[in-house]
Amino acid sequence: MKILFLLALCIACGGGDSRPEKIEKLRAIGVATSPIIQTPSTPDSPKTATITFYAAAPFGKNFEVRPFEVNAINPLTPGITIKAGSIKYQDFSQFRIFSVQASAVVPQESASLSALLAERGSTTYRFGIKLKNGEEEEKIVADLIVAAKDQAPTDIKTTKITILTPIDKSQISTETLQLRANIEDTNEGETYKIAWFVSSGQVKNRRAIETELKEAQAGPVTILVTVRGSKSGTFAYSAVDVTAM
Amino acid sequence: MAEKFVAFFIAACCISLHPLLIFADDNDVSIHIRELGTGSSLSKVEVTLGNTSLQSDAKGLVHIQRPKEDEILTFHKNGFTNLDIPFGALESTDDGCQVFLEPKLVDGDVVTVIGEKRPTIATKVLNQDEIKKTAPGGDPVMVATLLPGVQSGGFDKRLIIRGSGPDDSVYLIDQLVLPFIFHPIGNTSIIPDSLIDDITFSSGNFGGQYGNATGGVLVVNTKSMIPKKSEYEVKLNVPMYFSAFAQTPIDDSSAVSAYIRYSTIQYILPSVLKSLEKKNYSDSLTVIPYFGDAHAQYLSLSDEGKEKTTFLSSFDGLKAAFPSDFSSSEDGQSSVDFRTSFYSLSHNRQKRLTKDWTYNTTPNFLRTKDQTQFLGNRVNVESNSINIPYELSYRRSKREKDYLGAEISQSRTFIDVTVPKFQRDAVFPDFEDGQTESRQISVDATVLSTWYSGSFVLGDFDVEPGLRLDYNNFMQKSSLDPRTNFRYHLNEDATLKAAAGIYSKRPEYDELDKTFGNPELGYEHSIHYAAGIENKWGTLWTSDLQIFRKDFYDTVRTDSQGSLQNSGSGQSHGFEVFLRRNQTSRLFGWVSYTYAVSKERDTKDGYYIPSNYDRRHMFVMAGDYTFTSTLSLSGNLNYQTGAPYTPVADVYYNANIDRYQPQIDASKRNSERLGPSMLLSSYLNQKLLADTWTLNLRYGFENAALIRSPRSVSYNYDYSEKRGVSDLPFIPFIELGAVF
Repeated sequence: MKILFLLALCIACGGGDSRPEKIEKLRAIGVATSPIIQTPSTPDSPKTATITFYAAAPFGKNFEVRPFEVNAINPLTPGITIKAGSIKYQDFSQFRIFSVQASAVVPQESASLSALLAERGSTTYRFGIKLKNGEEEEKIVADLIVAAKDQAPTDIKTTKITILTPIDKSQISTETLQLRANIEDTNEGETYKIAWFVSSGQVKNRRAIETELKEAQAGPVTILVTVRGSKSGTFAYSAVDVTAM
Repeated sequence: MAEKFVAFFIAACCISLHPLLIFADDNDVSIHIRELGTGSSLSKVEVTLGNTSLQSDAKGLVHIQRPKEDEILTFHKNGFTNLDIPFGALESTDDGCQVFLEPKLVDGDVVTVIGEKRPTIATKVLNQDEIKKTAPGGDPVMVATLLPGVQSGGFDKRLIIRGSGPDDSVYLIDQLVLPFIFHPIGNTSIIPDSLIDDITFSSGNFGGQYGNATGGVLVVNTKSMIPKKSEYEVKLNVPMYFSAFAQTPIDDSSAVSAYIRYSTIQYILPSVLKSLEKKNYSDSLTVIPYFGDAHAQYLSLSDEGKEKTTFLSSFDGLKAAFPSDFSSSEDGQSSVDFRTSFYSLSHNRQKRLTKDWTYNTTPNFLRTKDQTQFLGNRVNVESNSINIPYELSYRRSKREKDYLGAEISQSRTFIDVTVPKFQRDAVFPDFEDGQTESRQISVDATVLSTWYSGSFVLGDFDVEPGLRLDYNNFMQKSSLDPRTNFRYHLNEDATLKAAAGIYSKRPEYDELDKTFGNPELGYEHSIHYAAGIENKWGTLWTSDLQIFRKDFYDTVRTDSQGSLQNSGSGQSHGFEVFLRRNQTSRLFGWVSYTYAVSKERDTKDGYYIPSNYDRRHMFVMAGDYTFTSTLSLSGNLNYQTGAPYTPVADVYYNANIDRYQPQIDASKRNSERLGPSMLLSSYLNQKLLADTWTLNLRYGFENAALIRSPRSVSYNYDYSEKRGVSDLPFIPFIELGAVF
């Protein structure tokens, strides 16, 4: 019977009406920080990190943005400040991606932070924002990574991703379409997590760099892919508009 | 004269060389009378030919003067259908003729007597027929799920007894403690019905001979009968497994048996998956489960007792790869690799020392191995143990006995783990991407146990005191558990009973590790209280009413700092009603109802919440009706109210793992409840008799939902939609077994 249970779980991962790849309401897609990894501030030179929250939503929705306090046990977690007028939109044919920038002051060197960094090499601080539109609400959290000076990597690349197939503005089949992406500027020893998003249809395996889109509705279709570095937290996305026929 | 002597000499030689030649005369014929379906020779069969009446001998042979072809022979034996047949229709063999008599159902209210067992007030004993015919899914051990106080159904068949978790109970085969009794994959038990004599199940208040359990005890007693002839059985259970069994007598007092079972589901599942998988995505999903088990046993009986040497082995495995949000690899697949196995070699010896003294011992070696890999994490556990239990019993009178036992267990457990590192300041666990840590742990433990239990009769009052002492040298801790049962015989048909006792269980060895657990942990305990009344209603019906209460304390819980402590406690209480129709040739069955409340708390000053096993009402009806000697109908009806679950309080998108994660409000743990379910299972047991072999057919359905409710709750990707994880599906099945 456990087999049946596992089977049910597996099938649930691949099917269902509510599919994670389909952008039909407000949906977070990722967070980028810059610099990717920080070293502690010093009293003389406080450092600021820029945190960019990304979300996708169908057209016609505007959201309020607020920071919210994550119930963190780490007492050193500083607050974040949302930059006024930082909401930016990038429109595609079937949905829009918008970004919100916030800033955080990197915690200063202290005895407790030094002890933590000596033990672990790095530590994380968790931040969050809340997007709200009436009853629709999305809470997004991410980490700011702070590393000891002698352990902070200096050569972390900002990863990029591109969609190789299909080509932007091309015509595709409504039945089966090959999806293929390419990750560029990868960091050694890093693992990357892929996520596909679409305006219609179903993605066979949304975590695979090479997969299939099926049953796209005839007409314009937007295909989005994101990538996130598991260790560094580096984030990038790419999208194409195609026409399904 | 010389010619006569030579003729006599030749005749004598012929007789001595071949006894059948005595009937070389055309006027004599030998008839071999056998049982249809097995081919066994039948003795004492009354054979009538005209006015002549004869009886078959011990070899099933009867010798008659050759009648005319159309003369009617009548064969009669109690328990078999009478047969009238013309002589000419008898089947000819090289040695004469043979005839097969068909067993018939003997009507009447003769109750099958269940053997004497060590008395405790919450014990139920089920005999082989009850087990074979009513067992859900055709699995004998599963019959325990139909008894009062036991939660059943769902995907996990392990026993949840009177509010105790599935790991709080112990399973034994004879005196050997098994690491598990159900295949974790196949969900059948690891013990074939061909090996089982009866099953003894205690839902609490068990005797001092059982330790390391705070829930219940399930004991499978293996057969102690020497078969009359060699017997072979092959069985195909569609879709789960194929098995083969053989037993043969060596002589009048010893026999050997062997059994092997191997799963077939791994050959069937891929095609099922292909047809079930939506949108033809079956190539993304790989599930390869397999399981099997085997045993071999040597049985020897003597006037002084019996000896059994048993080899038992079981293995399960599952390899699965499927698209998953947990995946961090470019193919988007997650994988699971799970393997578990054990084997044991034991020698059980029960011997009468004097008229009143007997002993029972089962020295055994047990090896278990578990390997689990999931998302780059692994937990491997290997254990070897030698256990020597020894129990002396002394019979003071017919109803009074003393049992004094001791056991020494020496085990070496090796644990190799790579798991996510727990960080105290992590609000959201990043399971798949978080830091991991590895550790190898080796545990050498010696456990010494001793126990006493006895029965004293004081007029109409029986007292059964017991005491168990365990010492674990790895923990450097001991437990002392007094237990007592009382019975008061109101009259011949009614007995009042009550019991109380303390039960202890050690933490798992990985919980005692200084990195992952807490070396200071002590035993978990529970106190069982029960009282009730047993009634006989004539010879056919018995009833048992019990009220019970279990107090759990020192249970292992994780504190707010993430470390393990003996800080948990809990309680379950309720009552059980059990009405049994004793087995006769046509009918047996039982009805049970359990009302139970189960609650727990993590700390001594915390507040109680419903436990995960808090199901308030359970009703079971199970039984079998035999139409003919070759056809019977079995079934069970199972009603249970829903278990509690914890609602999701809030949801966050965690960019670190690109997934939504729920947050739980600790004050609302198990605050909501699933709906009730009522499932019906029914099977036909049919025998098709050939001359010397039988085809056993068992077919029917399981889990026809009269009321269907979710077993648990699942959510969509962002927790905005709640869905029920459905109960077990309707399962038709067929089992074919050929017995030779």
